[in-house]
Amino acid sequence: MDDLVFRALLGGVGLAMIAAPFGAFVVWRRMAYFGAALAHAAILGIALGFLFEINITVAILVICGLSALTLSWFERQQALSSDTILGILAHGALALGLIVIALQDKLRIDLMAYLFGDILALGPSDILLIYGGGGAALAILLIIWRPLLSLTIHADLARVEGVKVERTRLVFMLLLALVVGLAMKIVGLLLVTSLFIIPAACARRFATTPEAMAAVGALIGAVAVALGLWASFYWDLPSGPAIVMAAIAFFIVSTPFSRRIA
Amino acid sequence: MHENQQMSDTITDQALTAFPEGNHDHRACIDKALDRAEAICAERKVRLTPVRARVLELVWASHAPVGAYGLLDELKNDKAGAAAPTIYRALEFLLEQGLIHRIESLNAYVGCDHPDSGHSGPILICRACGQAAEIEDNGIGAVMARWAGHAGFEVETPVIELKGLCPRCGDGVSGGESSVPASVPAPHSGPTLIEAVNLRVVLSGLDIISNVSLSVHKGEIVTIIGPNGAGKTTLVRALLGLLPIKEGRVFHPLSDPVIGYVPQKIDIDETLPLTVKRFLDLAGPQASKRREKVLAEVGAAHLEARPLQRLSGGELRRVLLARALLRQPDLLVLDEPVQGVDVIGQAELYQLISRLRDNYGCGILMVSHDLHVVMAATDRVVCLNHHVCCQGLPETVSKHPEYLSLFGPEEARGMAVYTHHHDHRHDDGHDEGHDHEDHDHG
Repeated sequence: MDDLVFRALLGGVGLAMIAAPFGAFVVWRRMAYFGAALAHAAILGIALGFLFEINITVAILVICGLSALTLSWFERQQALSSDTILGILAHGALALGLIVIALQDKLRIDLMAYLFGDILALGPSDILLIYGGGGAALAILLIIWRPLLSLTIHADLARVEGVKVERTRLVFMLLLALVVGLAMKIVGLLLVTSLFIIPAACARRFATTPEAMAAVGALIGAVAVALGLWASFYWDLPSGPAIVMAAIAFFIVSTPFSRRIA
Repeated sequence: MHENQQMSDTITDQALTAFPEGNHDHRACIDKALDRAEAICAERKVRLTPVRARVLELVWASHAPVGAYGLLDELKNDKAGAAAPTIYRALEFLLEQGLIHRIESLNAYVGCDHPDSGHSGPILICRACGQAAEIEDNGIGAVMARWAGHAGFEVETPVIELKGLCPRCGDGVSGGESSVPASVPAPHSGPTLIEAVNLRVVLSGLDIISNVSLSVHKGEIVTIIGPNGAGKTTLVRALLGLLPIKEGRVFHPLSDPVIGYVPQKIDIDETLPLTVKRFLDLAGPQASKRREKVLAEVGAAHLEARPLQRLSGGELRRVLLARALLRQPDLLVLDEPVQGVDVIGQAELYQLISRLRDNYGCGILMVSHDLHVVMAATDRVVCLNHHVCCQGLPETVSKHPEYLSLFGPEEARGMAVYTHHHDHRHDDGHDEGHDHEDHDHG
């Protein structure tokens, strides 16, 4: 196995395992659209990264973080439904990003790589970022796990019981923005949500506790990445979509196991 | 006043500060009290400073006892204002001079009608309207002093508090507006757990509730009733600190009472694998130790391994109650505790709630829009329709004109005010072995 494939496998598996626990919360909290919105906004980060010649991944992370902050601020105003705000913000940022890219006639950006991911282009610094940044995000998620689970079940009940609801929610949104930003590299902004949701949805069929669902999801995500990469090699498929299809294959195969818990 | 007749054969009008008539000129009471206080202070050569006089005036603002918090709040509205220590010192002074009495069980003060007689007579407190009257029979004090002396006991606070119903509340005749004052800290089984003063909550520019005052004491069940959209849930959420309050304040006279909350709805996504056991353990670090006991208490021991999403309405209510009880609450707040439960289940739940009050000695505040069963299991009813229409004993409120106009005489007449029976056999011995058989009593 050459370095290229090894790095792709290492980065992809690591990210899938980090994304799965977040994916579980995304599913429980019904935030799938939120993840997609963050990914859409990332195109603005890519454009600005090129414009100001800064590290693209850093630019993506900054824009995703800012989007999360803006969304949570808007949500607190409660003037519009959060779905509507998400749509406005996500597509606004996407459109603006595309315009900024188009205006820079000096350079031609391979948009496809950002739309559908380019896992084989993962460099050593990306691997470091995934394991360093993603690992830190996962560690913080474990720290806020209990209060976050409490407020996912019932925010008011959690608040009466002393959970710092606003703070916990904001921390989770920022962490999610970080992981979405990192995952963009693997499957691209159009497919990023699937890396969070599909493994979690599969895991639901085998899990009887929230923690088990996150752990099984991590396992399924990791295997899906490996299978997808393998398929993309042997049949010369685009890697991002191959990973997503591998995850979907898991989902279909696990359907007979579908049962109600306990 | 028949109950006093056995106590002493020297009853005169002077010896008993009678409960005031509903329509008496209260300003005259206040003026009389202030004049008397001035005379006494001049005679004893102590100064009745403006602050002291103002505090006395506020204590005299009604014949019901006034809490220190209420005083602080009132004084904040004064131009001069006054710091809390100043007010407490003024209260201390007034107590020393015998101008007011402190009612321990309410943590409140009431003006004295006979400050010159150097007594400290038993105080009659009406548990419905909160008004107080004083028996001034030095014979009682003498008997107490004699027996205390005999026992070698040094009396520090010789206050006797008698609770019951005043003539008007006892008759159940609730005439005009003033008979059940909205802001009176009414019945009381123990210290105040939560007290709201003149709450106003505005949501999206609309006044949802305004000028709402209420309190819940340890050991009592207070029910907020009102039509749909009356602001009941808003009030509860504001009391819990879940909504911003535009005006007024919420006090917790006990520092940091533990509050158990049972929300109206709980909406958990199907994808969250959550058993009842796990849900209960989220109540806190100590929860798992007491889980089985509390589950048995609410009659839900057999549900422990069940996913939360697979519970019936009644089962879910019991589990939510268990979650609240795991925190060993001083105050239980229940928003529509019988929603989605059939009629038999409703009666059972209300009896469970009464039993929990007895077992835990906590105060309970619940919300309901159903009139039929709720009255049975409640000590005091607050009728809410954006403001407090009336509050008091269930029997009293159900005859109140505002209540009748709110719910219509037909509906209100159809409502039976029946009291619950403690000897009713129930599902206390509920364990895994038997399921629902013993629920099916009429």
